[in-house]
Amino acid sequence: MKTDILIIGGGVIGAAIARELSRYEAKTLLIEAREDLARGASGANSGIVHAGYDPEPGTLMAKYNVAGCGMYEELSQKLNFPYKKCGSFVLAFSKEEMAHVQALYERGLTNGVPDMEIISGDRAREMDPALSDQVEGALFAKSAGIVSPYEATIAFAENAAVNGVSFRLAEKVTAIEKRESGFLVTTDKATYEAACVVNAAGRFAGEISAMAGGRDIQITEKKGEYTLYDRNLGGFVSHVMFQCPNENGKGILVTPTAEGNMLLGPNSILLRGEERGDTATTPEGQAQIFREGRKTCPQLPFGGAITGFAGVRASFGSDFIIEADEKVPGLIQVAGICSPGLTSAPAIAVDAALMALKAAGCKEEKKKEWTEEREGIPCVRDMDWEKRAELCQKDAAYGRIVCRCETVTEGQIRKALKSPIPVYTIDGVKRRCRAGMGRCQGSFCTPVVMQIIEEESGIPFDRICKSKEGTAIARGTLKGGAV
Amino acid sequence: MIRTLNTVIVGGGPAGLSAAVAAFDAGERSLLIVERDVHLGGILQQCIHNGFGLQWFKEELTGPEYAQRFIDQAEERQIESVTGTMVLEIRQDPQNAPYDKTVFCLSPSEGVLELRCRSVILSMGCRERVRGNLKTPGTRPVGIYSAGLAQRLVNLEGVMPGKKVVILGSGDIGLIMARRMTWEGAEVKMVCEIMPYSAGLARNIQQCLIDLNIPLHLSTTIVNIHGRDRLEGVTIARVDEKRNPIPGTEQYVECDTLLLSVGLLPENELSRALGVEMDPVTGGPRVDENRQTSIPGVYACGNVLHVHDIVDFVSKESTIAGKSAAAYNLQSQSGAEQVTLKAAGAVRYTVPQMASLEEPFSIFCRVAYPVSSGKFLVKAGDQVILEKKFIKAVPSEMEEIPVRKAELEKILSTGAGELTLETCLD
Repeated sequence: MKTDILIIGGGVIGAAIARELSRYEAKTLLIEAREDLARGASGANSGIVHAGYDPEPGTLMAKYNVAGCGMYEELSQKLNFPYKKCGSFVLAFSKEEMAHVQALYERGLTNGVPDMEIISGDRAREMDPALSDQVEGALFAKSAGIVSPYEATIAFAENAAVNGVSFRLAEKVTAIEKRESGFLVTTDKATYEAACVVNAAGRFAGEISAMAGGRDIQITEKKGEYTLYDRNLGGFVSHVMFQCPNENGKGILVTPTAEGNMLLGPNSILLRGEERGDTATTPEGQAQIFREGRKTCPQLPFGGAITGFAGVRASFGSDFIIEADEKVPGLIQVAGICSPGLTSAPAIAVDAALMALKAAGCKEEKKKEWTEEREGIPCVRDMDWEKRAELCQKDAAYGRIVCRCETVTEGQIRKALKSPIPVYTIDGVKRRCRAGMGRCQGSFCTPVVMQIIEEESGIPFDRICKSKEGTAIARGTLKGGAV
Repeated sequence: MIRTLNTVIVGGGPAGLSAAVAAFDAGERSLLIVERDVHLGGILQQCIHNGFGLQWFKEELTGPEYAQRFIDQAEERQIESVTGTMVLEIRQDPQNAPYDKTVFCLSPSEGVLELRCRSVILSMGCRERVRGNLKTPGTRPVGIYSAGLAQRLVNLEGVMPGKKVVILGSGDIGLIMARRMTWEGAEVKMVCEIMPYSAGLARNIQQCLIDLNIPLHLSTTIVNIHGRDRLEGVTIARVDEKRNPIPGTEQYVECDTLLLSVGLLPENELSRALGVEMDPVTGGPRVDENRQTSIPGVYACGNVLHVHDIVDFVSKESTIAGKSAAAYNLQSQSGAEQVTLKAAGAVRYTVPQMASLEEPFSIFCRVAYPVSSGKFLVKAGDQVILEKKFIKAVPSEMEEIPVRKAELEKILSTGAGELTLETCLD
């Protein structure tokens, strides 16, 4: 197959670039090694849209963070993914930290962050009563927000797909050959000719660059652990609560999530050698984030957690790499996109798409017809009764609750399975419409979700997987055969 | 669609069915059971083992048989029910009095169903605790299920979740699944229980573990989970008296399935949103001896009220709630002053938590830890009102302490506003 631009990586960066490219006449293909989008850092992070006072002025991080932050509100409305501009606090627990907060405020001004304010501890507690008495003051950034990182990634990708970008999931790039003009990209399933390759491979960006003969990229991996709380604690804090950042990152945060839960984390553990890619949670990590979270909110409950998870941040040095490779013409590097990468993604995508078009030798010619909006999946949980009745009238399947904890109906699950990039797995359904994401963690709805997947995909019930191939829920039927 | 009726029963499992039948038998004809699943009967439909009904029906039934008895009784009485329909919200609307409660449901056949009623019986049951509640560390591969989900996969869907099984928690569903998976050819390696005693019924320990040579490791928990995509094994460790893992006692156990049977949580999201007062110990509403919650006309029974050991007690309790709701509809319940019941000593909780002392009733309780040879004392201040001896009381089994007419009078004569149920060891 021939394509103008081939994007490697279906995280938020690859998906956002794909969406930007879908505006143009160029032919674009995205290849993702995992069975679904957002399976790396984009699927397991804090889900914060940062205001942009953290990065050093003059860095790519500073530029794209502030720009990206300003894009999310409109994007979330057009593409229908969970986002809330709830604002963030950076808390100071001492005079020294107040000085740090002041420095962040000034850095924010330099970076062009709007709507910041330094507030007193009392004012902070007035706005969020769960905060510690020890809080002396805080930097309040109104432009910060929360977003569902995987739903944003899926929304970008689906919008790109509707506008003509091709997607190949569960397909791993095994070789990239630089030809006279363009590349021959080999995967475990096919070969592709591409005029331009965009490296958005996250923690595998080094391997991909090496395959293509591009610059040396040594990715550093740092694991961050989280605890996710029941949605009945979703209002425990109403702003994103940061502590003063230190050498290990932005510190432990306590935050509401865009989907209505409360999230605690992350710590930061360097992964070396065999440990790379490790997303196991640990007793030490879970204890650490709880201990440090209690500094922010002394009443942070020990109970009420519904799951723990970990993600791996892939970084390179102290800034993003967003450039046309100097050694290999046609190779666009978008690598080392650690925090604030999620925030920056939409802004990075605008520039990276233009770089890719140029590298592919395509004109910046926009399509005449481009669908700007994504319908997405209706969220029955958030609707009023009138809207629910209206929806049920159109399709009775929206009247049958399958996931009781998250109020997800059969209609939503079917819609997820009929989406532009359907993924016929339990986790795929979960990421798209939240069935199984709630307090019982799928204990009740998993078999029903499996039945619906079977009906929509034709995959037999006993072959339906949790995630990748080989993860079937069933390991055989009963001695007497399936019921 | 808007409908007006006397009583709405939220949940058509054993509790809701028993309550509906009792309300009918007390004269109430305007009843509707709302069930979210496609069938009535609740979780009993997947409990295909026997041992149900020994107390209530004086014979041994399977779960579906026990459920069917009540489904038949409801059908004989022509009690109306809707299935596939889930209640999402209950509101109090005083302007609609006497039909001052509104139950909002979502259903594939009706769309939005708005039920205005005099009384509501909460019988939503419970759910299982999950790994996240325990904060068990490790990877998150396929192969980790609640015992109840595994039970459904095996008994209703006909598939085996795995072949080498470790079970964490000695709750009854876990024990039943140990036997079920063994019979279906799986190797159940062990059941680990963090407490120094089992959380399951003695008969289940005998029939599901001892008879099948499945080891039960007490004071043992799982400290790590291995396998990136599919479960490969778990690390178990002994725990000290504070339930902290003891370093050096770790042991790797290869398995492809981990079943969690680590406790049940009453499912009270609706009750909380409605504003009924909750008991933090049971996780259910606070009720009086009629199973009425803090909101007049709202009743609770079954596992939504407190987790029961056997379904026969659920039926018993729900009968009280159904009868009371019927009486409430006729406005024949007086607003007598109530005394509070408190748990003390080894007693972890009591149901009811309040009582108006108009009729003889039973106090149900559970102990917090196993105790042997002693007595339960019901006290008003320092005065002992009644006592009931026990040889052994364990947390996994509920105790019933009847309060008779003479004892009611004794309590009333003291004028006490609070009763205490405590244990006294010999």
